[in-house]
Amino acid sequence: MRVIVASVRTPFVQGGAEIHAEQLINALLAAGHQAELVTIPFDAGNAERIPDQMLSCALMDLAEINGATVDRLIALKFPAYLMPHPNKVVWLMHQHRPAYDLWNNSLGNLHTAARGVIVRDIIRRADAKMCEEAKALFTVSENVTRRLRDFWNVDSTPLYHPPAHADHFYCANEVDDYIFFPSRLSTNKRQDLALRALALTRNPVRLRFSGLADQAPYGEGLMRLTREMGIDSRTEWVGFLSEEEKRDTYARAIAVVYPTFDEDYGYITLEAMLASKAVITCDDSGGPLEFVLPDKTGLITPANPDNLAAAIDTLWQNRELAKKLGHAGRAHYEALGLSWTKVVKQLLA
Amino acid sequence: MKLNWFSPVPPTPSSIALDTAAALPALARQSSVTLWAHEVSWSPELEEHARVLHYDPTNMPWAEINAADVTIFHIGNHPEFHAPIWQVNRQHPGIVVLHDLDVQQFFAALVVRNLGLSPSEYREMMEFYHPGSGPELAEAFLSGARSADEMGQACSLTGAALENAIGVVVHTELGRSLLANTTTLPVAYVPLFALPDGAEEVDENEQSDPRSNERTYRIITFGFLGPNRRLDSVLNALRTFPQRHRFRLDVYGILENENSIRQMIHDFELTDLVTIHGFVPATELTAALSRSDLAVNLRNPTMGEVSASQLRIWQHGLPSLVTDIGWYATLPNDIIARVRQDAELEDIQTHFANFLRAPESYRQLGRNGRHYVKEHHTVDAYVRALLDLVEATLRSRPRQAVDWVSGRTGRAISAWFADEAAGVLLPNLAGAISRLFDQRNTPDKRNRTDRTHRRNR
Repeated sequence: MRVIVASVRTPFVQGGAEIHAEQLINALLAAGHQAELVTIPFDAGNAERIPDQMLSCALMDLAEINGATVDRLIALKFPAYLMPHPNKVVWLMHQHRPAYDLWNNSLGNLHTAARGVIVRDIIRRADAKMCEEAKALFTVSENVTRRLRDFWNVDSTPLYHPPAHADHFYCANEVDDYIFFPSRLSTNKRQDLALRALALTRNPVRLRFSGLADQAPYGEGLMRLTREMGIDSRTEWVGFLSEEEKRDTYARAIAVVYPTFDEDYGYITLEAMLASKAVITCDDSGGPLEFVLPDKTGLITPANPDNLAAAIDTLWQNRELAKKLGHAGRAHYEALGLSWTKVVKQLLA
Repeated sequence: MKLNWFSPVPPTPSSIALDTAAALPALARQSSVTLWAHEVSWSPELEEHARVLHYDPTNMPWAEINAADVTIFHIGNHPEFHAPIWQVNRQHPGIVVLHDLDVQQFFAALVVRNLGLSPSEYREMMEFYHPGSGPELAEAFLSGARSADEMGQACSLTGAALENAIGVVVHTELGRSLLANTTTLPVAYVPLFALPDGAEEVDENEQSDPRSNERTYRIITFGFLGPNRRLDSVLNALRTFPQRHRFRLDVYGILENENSIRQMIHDFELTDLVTIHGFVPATELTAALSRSDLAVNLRNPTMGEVSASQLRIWQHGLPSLVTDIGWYATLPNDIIARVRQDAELEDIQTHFANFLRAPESYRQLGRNGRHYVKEHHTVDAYVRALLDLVEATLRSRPRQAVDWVSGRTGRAISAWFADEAAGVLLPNLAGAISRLFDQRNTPDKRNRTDRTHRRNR
């Protein structure tokens, strides 16, 4: 089949979405299909430009290229899923959440825009139309499926997939003295919550953060918070890591902390499980909750510094417990049977 | 229902501010109102009926604004009072209560007083909304060759005040019918209501005066008195009126050109007959109205809207001379005395003479006016009609979205092809846009395309 994978890309930002698209292309190619990734630049920071970008997609008809039919369009993100195609399948990473669950939420930005309401209405209306047009509707997780049910009143099928380079993760024989927080530095990832928790830990816990800031002010705010709370010596900001460096950092960590807010899917959780690491996450973290078995493969705490600090202390103090949970996590991952072959089969059915 | 309400508020000396204060109790009974005030302080009574918040147009708390179902903007001709409201509306769509259909003076004053409209923006505005004479008149105004007064008839700039409107309220049926022909927005005629001002119920028998051949009569004129209120004509009429000693003229309110009016009173030797009182508290004006025998409420040119002053005159059962123009021209004959535009001096003096000869026939006009205002201009009717428009506007929200996206996209296309694009490309574009929306809610294609073209000229 000739398949186009449609997505959007925010220039200068690299994250899970980009990896996701790249992996899907590789999986399609591996399955013997012709596959191309089509992305359009998307800037959610300027509300008034969102409808323009939606319209760009709506005008981008990719049903035929150079006289040859494109058999399937697999759309991953808003507003790429507005591209018209007779055989469009949507495998949704997430809705444009500022128009839905993040409306009137400090993590959203649309409700703070002068024309926020009208843009929200446009998005909702276009999304409803897309749901009618799509041949099938898949999501990356049960969490996203739930949101679609809540906000779009539609059924969709969660389709889990393995993280990139899943076969290369490993667990080191010896761990170093740090708990790892791998992720873009972003408001919804809540590195600030982890810092506040760190300040409350009873042990000399060290947190190692990787990733770059989506927006400079948030990153600067984290540095300021670190200084203000006097935890400079117990935090480490390693910035961007190569895949090898990232896997090595996972491998040598005591555990992984990932207190993100209402994550769609969360590669971090799966990567930690692949590296046999226990995961500390929060009860409002969304996607990770689909994979972390409480007290079996990780710890789930209320999203406040006190409880998070207690969970971090628990694994810092009890390395055997951390190890046990981590290995159980790896076993649980294997049991899930995540496979790109299955994903491709369902998307092209 | 949650409403944002942008208006001047008391104690700002504005009739629109007084209207807001008077409408608020009835409005608050049927909705939750946030009253946005550019003033830094306001009458505390307002807070009994609404949350009152100060705003800065350059730093708006949009999340708060977006929490309401609809935002209502009051746009009138006073530049200081309405500039900040217009500046917010430029950024955020809402229902516009258009207190004057002719807003040329408003926009012209914004340019002159540097209140948020640059000369180049004014030029673009004039060219866009009045492509015929607009550019030339804009240049004439900016160079000082023409006054805004002179340009209102040709270039009212009504469309500019509605640039970001999602619905329009006007206070005259005439205004509604005019706008209905030029916009696809929901437009409602919402009769302005008379403010409760303690007007005394006067016993009709007590008004007949057996000594009317001898007594003097008090004439009153009041409000925001710019050149269009024709005070100079009234003074001229008095100057050459033989029995002028039978009248006393009381002038209340803000005089736009006070010095020249005072000079005129002096030159015409009317200092014993005319008193300029200036802006006074509402109770003092009420007392003055109760003491008066005749009101003069001329408008030429008219800004096209209903006069709150006229409603107040009727409340007091006062006979009134009005220019036979705009809204006044649509009023029944038995509630006003008309002054023709082209025979102003003659008609004013004729009315003065007739009044002295038969005051009772004029008093009857005042009594009829009082019945009229009670029947047609109540707060409850105002609120009911306003909220009906809010509902209609909410129903038309998808259409607003289509208009907005069409406008933005049309601008991009017209930059490539200018006018040639209209007939060919825009219908196709409209088709793409309508794919984003439910067909049932899209407006008629032809109208939408025409409007997109018009906006992008």
